[in-house]
Amino acid sequence: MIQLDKVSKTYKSKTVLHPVSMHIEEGKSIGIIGPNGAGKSTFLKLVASLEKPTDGTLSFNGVPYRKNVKNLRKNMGYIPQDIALYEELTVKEQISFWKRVSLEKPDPSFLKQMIQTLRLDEVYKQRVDRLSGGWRRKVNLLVGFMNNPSICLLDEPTAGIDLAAKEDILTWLQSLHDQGKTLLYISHDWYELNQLSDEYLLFAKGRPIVRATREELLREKDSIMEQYPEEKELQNILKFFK
Amino acid sequence: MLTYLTLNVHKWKRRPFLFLLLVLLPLVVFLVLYPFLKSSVRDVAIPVALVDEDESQWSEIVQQRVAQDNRVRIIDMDRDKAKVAVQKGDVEAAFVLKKGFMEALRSGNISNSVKWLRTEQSELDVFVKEQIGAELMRLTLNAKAANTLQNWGADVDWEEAFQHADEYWQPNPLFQMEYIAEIPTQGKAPEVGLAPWMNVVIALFFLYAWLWFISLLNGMVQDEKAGRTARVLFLRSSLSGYYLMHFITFVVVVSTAYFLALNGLFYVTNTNEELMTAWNAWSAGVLIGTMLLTFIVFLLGKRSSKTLLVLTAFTFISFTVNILPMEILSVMDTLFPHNWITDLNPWEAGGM
Repeated sequence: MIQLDKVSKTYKSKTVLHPVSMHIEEGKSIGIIGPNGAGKSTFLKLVASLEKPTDGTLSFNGVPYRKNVKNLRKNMGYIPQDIALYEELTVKEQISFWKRVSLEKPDPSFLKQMIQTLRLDEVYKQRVDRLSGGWRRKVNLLVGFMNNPSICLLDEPTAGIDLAAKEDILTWLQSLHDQGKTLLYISHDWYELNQLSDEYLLFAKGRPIVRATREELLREKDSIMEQYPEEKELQNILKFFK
Repeated sequence: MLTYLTLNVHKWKRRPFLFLLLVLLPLVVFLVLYPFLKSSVRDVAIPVALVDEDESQWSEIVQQRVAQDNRVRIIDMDRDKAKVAVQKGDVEAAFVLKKGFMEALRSGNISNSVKWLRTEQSELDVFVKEQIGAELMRLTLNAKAANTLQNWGADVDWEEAFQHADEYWQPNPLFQMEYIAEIPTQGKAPEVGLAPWMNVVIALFFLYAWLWFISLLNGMVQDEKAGRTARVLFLRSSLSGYYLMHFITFVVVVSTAYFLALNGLFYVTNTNEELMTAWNAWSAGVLIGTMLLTFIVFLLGKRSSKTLLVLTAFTFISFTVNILPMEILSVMDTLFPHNWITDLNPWEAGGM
C-alpha cells in the first residue's frame, strides 16, 4: 500500500533520517519504537506527507505521493504529539468546527460510535482547555480520525495520560485495527505496543534498524543490545520488552 | 468559508471584554488623552503678553480680536511682569496698550499708542504685531471717518458714524487682494488638511492596527506549531481557504478598531465631512493594502515567528520615520506605509 524507496531527510546538512526503503502493507499495525532523536517522528511525518523527503520517493498504491497527495490525505488520519485543537472551544464546538472544515462530511454513525467508545459524551459541553490530559487526547483522536481513514498515523497517542483514558483509546484503536485499518504509531509504552502491534519498527541513529514481529524481536533483542552498546536509551527500551 | 470566521467568533466570545477592549482601545485612549492633547496644541500657539493700561472699550476690542486667532495665546499681565516674561523668554513679546489708547485712536493719533517689548530672540511676534497694527488701523480709520463727518457738520451721532464705518470691514474688508485657488496636481483638495498633531494621532492608530494584525497572524504560527494547520490539510487537502478566511476575518476586526478611532478623532475635532470621507477612503485603501502586503510577506517568510518579529520591527521603523522630521530620499519614503497614509495622501497638502 505505502512504499518508501530510499527515502531520507536532511535539515541544514544534518541527516535526521538515513535512506529507508520499506513497504507498509494494508491492515498492518506497526509500533514504532526508539530513543528520542532517532528519526521516528520524521519518518511518520514523511509517511503522512507533512514533510517532503530530501531524497527518495514515497508512493501510495503505486502512485508517487506528489501525484496523489489529495487522494492520499483523504485516506489518511494523522494524530500529532501535540493536542492539535482549538482549546478555547467546547468539545461540541470543536467537533462541529472540524466537521465543517472537512471536505468529506463525516459519517454520523461512525462519529457517534467513536464518541460513545471514547465516552466523550460525558464532557461534550466542556471547554477543551478545562479537560484533563486524557480527555484532550481523546478529543484529539476523534477529530483526527473523524473521516474514518483507512491509514491511521499516531505520534504517541497515549503519552502522559491516566490509565482509564489509555484503556479507552486502546480499545478504540484495537477496534480500528480489527476493522482492517492500517496503524502506524510511535510509542514508548510496551503495554500499548503489545496490545496493538503486529510488528515493531525499531529506530536508532536516524534509521530503522529492525522490523520484526513480537517473537522475532524477543529473539533478536539481546543481539541488538550488543550491537548498540552506546545507545543507553535503546538499551533501556529493550530491557523492559518481554 | 464562514467556518474560520465562526472559529474566531467562538474564540473571542470566550473573552468578550478583552476583545471589546482591543477593538475600542485606540478610541478610548484617544478620548481620555484628548483634553491633554488639546491643551498641548494650545501651548503651541505663540505666547504673547498684553498689558492693557487703558482698560477701555477699544483696548478690550483689540485684545478680543487678536485672541480669536488660534495661533496666538494672549496672556494678560501688568507692564513689569510682562517685561520680566519677555526677558525670560516666557512670552515671545509684550504689547502695552498705553493709558489714553482709546482717546489717542479716536483723535486719529495712532503713533505711540502701543508699546512693543521684545528681545533679540523674539521672532514670531512680528505676526502678532501685524495683527495688532491691523486692528489699530481699523479703529483709527473708523474714528477718522466719524471725526470727518462731524467736522463737516453732518447731523450724525459720532458712535453711529463709527459703527457705520466699521461695518465696511465685515464681512469683507474694503480691500481684498485677488487670489486664485489652485487645485493640487494629485487630486481635488478640500479647503484645508488636518492639523499636524492629528496626523501623528492617525499614525499611532495605524501603528496599533498594524501591530494587532501581526499579533493575530501569530495565531496562525501557533496553529502550525500545534499541528492544527496539518489537520486542516488532512481534512481539506488545501490551506487556501484557511489563509483567505483568516485574512478576511483579521482585516475586518482590525479595520473596525482603526475606523472607530479615526472617526472618533474626526468627531471630537469637528473635522469637515469632505475631509472625513476622503480620509476614510484613503485610509481604507492603505490599511487593507498594508495588511495584504504584510500577509504576503508572512506567507513568503514561511509563516514563522521570526518573520513576525521582523514585520513588527518594520512597523515601528515606519512609524518613527513618519513622525520624526527626517530628511529621507523620496524613494525611501514610499517604503513605509505610515508615509502612504499621510505624506502620500492626495488629500493632505504636503502631508505632515
